[in-house]
Amino acid sequence: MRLTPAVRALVLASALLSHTAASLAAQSDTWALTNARIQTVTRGVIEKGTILIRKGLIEAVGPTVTVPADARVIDLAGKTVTPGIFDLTSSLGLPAAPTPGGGGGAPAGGGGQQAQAATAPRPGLSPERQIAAEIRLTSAEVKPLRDAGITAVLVSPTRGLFRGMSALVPLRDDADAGSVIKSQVAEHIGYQGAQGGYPGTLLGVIAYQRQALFDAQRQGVLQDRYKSNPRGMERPENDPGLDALVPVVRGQVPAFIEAGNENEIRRAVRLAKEFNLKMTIVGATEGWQAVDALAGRPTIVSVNFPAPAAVTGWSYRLSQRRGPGDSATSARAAQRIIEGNAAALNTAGVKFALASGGSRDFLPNVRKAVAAGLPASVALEALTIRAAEITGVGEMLGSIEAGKIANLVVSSTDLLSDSARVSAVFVDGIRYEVAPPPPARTGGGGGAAGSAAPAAQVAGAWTMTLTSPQGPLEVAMTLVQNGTSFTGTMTSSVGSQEISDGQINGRNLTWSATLQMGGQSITLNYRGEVDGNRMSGSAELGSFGSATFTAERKP
Amino acid sequence: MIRRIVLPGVVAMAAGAQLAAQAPPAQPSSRPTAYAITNATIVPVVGARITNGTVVIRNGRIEAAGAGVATPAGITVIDGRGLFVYPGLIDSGDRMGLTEIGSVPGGQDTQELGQFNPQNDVITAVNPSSVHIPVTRANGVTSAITSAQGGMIQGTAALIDLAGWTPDEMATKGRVAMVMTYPRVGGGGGRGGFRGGQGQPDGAEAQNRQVQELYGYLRNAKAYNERANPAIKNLAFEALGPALKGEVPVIFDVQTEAQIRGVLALADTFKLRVVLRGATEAWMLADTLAARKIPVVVGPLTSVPSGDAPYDAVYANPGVLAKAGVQIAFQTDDGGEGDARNLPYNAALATAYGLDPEEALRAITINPARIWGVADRLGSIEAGKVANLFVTNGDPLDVRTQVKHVFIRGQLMDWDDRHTQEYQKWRARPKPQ
Amino acid sequence: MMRTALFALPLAAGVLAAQTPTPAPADTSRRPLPVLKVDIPPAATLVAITNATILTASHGTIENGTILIRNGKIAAVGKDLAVPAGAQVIDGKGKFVMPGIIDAHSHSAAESINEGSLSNTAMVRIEDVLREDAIGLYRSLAGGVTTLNVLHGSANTVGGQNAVVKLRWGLPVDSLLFAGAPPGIKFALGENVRQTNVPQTPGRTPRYPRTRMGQEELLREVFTRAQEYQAEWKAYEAAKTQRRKDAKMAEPIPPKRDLQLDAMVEILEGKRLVHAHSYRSDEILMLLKVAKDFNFRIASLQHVLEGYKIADEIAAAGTGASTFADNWAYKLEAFDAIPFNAALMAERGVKVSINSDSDERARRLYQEAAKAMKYGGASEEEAIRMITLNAAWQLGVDKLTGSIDVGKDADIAIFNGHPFAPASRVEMTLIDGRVFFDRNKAPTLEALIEAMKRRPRANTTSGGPQ
Repeated sequence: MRLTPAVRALVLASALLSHTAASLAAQSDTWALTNARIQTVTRGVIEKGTILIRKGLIEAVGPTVTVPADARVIDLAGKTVTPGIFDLTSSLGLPAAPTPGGGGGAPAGGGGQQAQAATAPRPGLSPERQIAAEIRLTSAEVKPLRDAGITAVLVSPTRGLFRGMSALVPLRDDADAGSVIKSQVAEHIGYQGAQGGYPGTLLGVIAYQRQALFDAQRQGVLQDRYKSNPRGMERPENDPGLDALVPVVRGQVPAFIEAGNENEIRRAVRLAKEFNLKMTIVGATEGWQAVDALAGRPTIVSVNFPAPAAVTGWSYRLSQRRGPGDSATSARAAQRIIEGNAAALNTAGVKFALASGGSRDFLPNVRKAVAAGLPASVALEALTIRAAEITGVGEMLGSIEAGKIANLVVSSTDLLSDSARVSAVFVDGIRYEVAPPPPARTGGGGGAAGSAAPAAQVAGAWTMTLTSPQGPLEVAMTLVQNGTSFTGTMTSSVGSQEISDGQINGRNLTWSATLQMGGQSITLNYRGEVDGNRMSGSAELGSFGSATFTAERKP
Repeated sequence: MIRRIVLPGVVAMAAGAQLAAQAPPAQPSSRPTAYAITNATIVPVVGARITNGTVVIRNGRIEAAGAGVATPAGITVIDGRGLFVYPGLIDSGDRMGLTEIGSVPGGQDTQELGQFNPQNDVITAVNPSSVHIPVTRANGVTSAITSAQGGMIQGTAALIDLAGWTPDEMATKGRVAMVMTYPRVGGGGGRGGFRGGQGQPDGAEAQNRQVQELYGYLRNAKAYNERANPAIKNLAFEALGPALKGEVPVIFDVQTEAQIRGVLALADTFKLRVVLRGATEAWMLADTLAARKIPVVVGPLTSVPSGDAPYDAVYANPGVLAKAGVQIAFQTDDGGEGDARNLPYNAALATAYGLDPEEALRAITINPARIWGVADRLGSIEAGKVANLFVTNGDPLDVRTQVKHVFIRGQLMDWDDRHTQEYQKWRARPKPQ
Repeated sequence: MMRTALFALPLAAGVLAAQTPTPAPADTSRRPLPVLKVDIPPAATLVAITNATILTASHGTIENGTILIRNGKIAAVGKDLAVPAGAQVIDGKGKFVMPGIIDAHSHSAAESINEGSLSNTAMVRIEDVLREDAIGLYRSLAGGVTTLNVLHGSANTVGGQNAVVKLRWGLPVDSLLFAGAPPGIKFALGENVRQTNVPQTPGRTPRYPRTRMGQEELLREVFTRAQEYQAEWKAYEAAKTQRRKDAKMAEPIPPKRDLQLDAMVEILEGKRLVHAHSYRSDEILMLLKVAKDFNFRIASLQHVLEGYKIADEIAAAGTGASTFADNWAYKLEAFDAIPFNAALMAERGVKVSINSDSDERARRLYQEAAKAMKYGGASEEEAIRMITLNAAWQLGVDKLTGSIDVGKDADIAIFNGHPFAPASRVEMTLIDGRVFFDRNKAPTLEALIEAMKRRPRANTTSGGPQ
């Protein structure tokens, strides 16, 4: 049309208007993601749609959504948007635990009373600990996880028997106690001893837990009685730890119990049944061996696959006549079963969320689980909506629905596909760009957290359980790494030894330690394989034979 | 006149104990030096059994042994009716005289500091008064190879008889062999294992370094020994001379097939005469070892298999080796817990899993005598040999068998071991009121 | 270390099928190995072991005897028994059959042994930490062992609660527990408890007690406290009864339930068997006196290497003794040990068992028991009882197992010769009549070598410096 002065004025006016609109949008956190393929998780896939984000929430989502003027528009043609995924097994942002050793045993003189007069809660023995108050995340910690598509993590300590109350934390750069999504998700229960005395071993841990829960039951009864009629009654003792356990033992606060192998799962179930706990198993890496025990409540399934040699029943092959090509195929066959854990649970009708379990290969391992038979849709649900439901935030997170929190992942294709590249992540509506990986390294899809250095990172404080013909031994090990070699100490009830000849070769470690025992010098030689914060291997104990060990590092 | 002492069964033990209780500590010079064991079944080991035989012992030696042997006059006679005479058993590996009570460091001389101690001669540290000596010989084990452990070269081993006033008196060969171990991937050679490793070549670097050290050390020792008059003496290298010249064998305490292969290569390089000891995986190389005529000391059988080995691997190993033609002997590797006296029961376990019983007996008598170069003196009942022998009421490999008499160097041993003594004493305790 | 080898193995001949009158022909199909699982032997509805020499442990030896097993229990024992149709027959010709061996002192199959942080850990339970797939269990089965007393370690004066298990290899952990075994607990005296043989961790306060006197003091203290606890609860029950009659009374407050004291009270009430690790005669006498003063019986002394010195006292107390055959001199308190210990105590009327305290020794307890015949002249049947019926009695399961008697569990070990003879080994081990170990099906070195011969070795490791 001819540019008559009227038309020209109109065009000028509209140009001015749009310019004004653009500048408004630039300062607001209102986003319109258009032309995207949206995996809502709960309401199917929208092949081409728009998501409107305002004030950190999803204002609208659908195939035809009107884009308001103040929104910053991002054309996501060719991209897929998924809800942000959860990692329910994280210890991000927690202060480092104190080193082991020290602390006394029972008081001297008179054996009957063995009261542990605790001044400060002992590490691992603090049911009242509020993780939400301790969270302090740095962007350096957060970024590698978020780049993989994780937008929320459930933070809890990784060791101890009563670890405290976990918090669900968004992976924002500025995340702190104030931005916590939910501050008392569950009481976390594990099976490691507390430092500095009783309980030091699994035996003591279980007995301690039972005693504590009995005490909590009684405490609840006394508290109720006192509340209804304090007159004439001695007031119940004020014990923060015990008080924290009262709602747990009443089923009002969920108990998340870390249990990986079959026996651990059954132990956890036994404890839950004895005390009527509202229990969720965390780990269940051998879930397929205990499906009957997992029925009834949703589970958090870790994809930190154990090695075949660490799985219950691996030694059964030593009692059977070997078939053709035994060792190799058995290991491979076992690996398939281990990776097929989630698929087996799904077939059995168990509802679960998937979690990293501390593995640095979270999404790659999820893909392995899918390859082993877990339907991709179930896997995606397990990473999103199931995780949200288990942590009690199913109304606010876990799917792309109007009204929910805007935690989203933008990727080049299906997030669970090998070739997926995450380009942006939204947390609480804040957009974080994800730079493409440097060309030199071929990232195996999904931008997995970190890039593996040739030598595994072994520095830190490890807790090792050594199983030998003389029985199991708990050892506290501190390693200091120097390139491909390392030094350190190992401390246990038989003393403290210096580590020598520590060598790292990829994920494999070897080292020695010399023990003085009964006038003899015994050189113990260790060989281990590291996977993230876990290590397993074997040791030669001189004339005492050989042993195997597993070890976990406090991150 | 023939002084006849009839000593059947339990009476013998009690009499012996009473003698020991009454008499002061044994004075060899005042005791008989000649005996005749009559009407017994003699098991010479190198030949067929002899029923109704007589063994004549005089001045420390077997004067005669056979069916038609006459009993000389004026000699102490032991009635062997219903009894058996065997050569004294030889334990090819333990810590006899080097250890008393395991938890007390003061009495432990089993391990020196450092990797290379070829100059250490264990014979000097043998305690002739060790309580383990009488206790062990009470079950017919009359000789033992004792040596130290730890490090790569432990020094010399000693072949001792389990009787004598001083270490030198006890020694049949004070420096019978040099003792070494071969570095192992993942560490030192332990005995058996609980759940072994998964066969990864990890720690190959560390093991490689140790092997290089060993080779280097031996090369230097060889060079030293080839010099006519070294300006500065090196006692350690000097001590390796006999081994490097092939004059004495080298015992290698090893377990795995990889270690054994390493030893064979080392032996080829330095022309060593090798005896493998421990060697639970030797069955994997049975034919090679037989072809190379390398003797293998197996044991202790009282250990558990390591790694992926079948449940009976340790027990069946000796049988496999023997069938392949390897010369085998047994060790108990007793570190002072009373295992050395159970040498024959180690051999018995092997017979349950494939070792021929005759070979088992040879493996604790004539085979070790041959391996240690003393077959002219020990290991069988033949005239002229040293009178190390024992008298039983049955097969010594059978746990139920009781030992009636033990002779070492022609002397009848008293039942002065701690255990027999305590038994007599406490059995006689009157019932408490 | 074994290199991985590829080889083929047909299953051996002599495989027995359930429910057939004669052994089935050899199955030569190449069955794939079940992964992370092992085949569970079928239930023993009807089994017959025929023509064997039966060492009953309770009533002598039966030549050419037959044992009939029905639904897991011994239904009949004797000569010339008719074998019912449909029975799974095990041909015992030339074989020796004895009751399954019972090891009264084991630490197998547990993920944790010693809660050593406190001097009294009566609240911890071995059954909480059992592990069913420990290879040591299988190897013990291969040595004829059918029942284990899995004990807490000897780190504390009052240790943890035990678990009596049957070696039902392949079944889940709860199925290993010996149903009907009374509960027990571990005590320990002497050097291990005093912790004087291990270097002390720097900075750590040593744990009381450090002397044998202290151990007595601790025991009397804990039992006194247990009596008080018992009284507290009785008073509470009485108050509750009162309150039911008189509503004006204040609701009585229950005492704090203490798991540790619960176990101690069970000991006082004779409901929990005490197995006490002890060496020296003086400490044993001390313990017997403490038990007498508090009116309970020690079920068994464990190790009890100086038991021979006070055999009469032990017999008079009605306490059993579970000891080593001839192990000694590894600690100062083991210095007076003599191999005649078992026979001498038995002679004086003590019920003696011989135990292993070691996965290695457990495999050959039959050889160890024979030593009681050699040292001190125990009879053959008494020596057999030391690894069967006597151990069962000490564990409180002698009505259920430990001898070949009608009505007892069919826990049986079948040898190819007399168990005490040198060349004997176990051919089969049955628990509740089910064959959990069969040498014909087991992986043996012989079979491995055969298989390796048939297939060339895939990865050979080279010799020389590696």
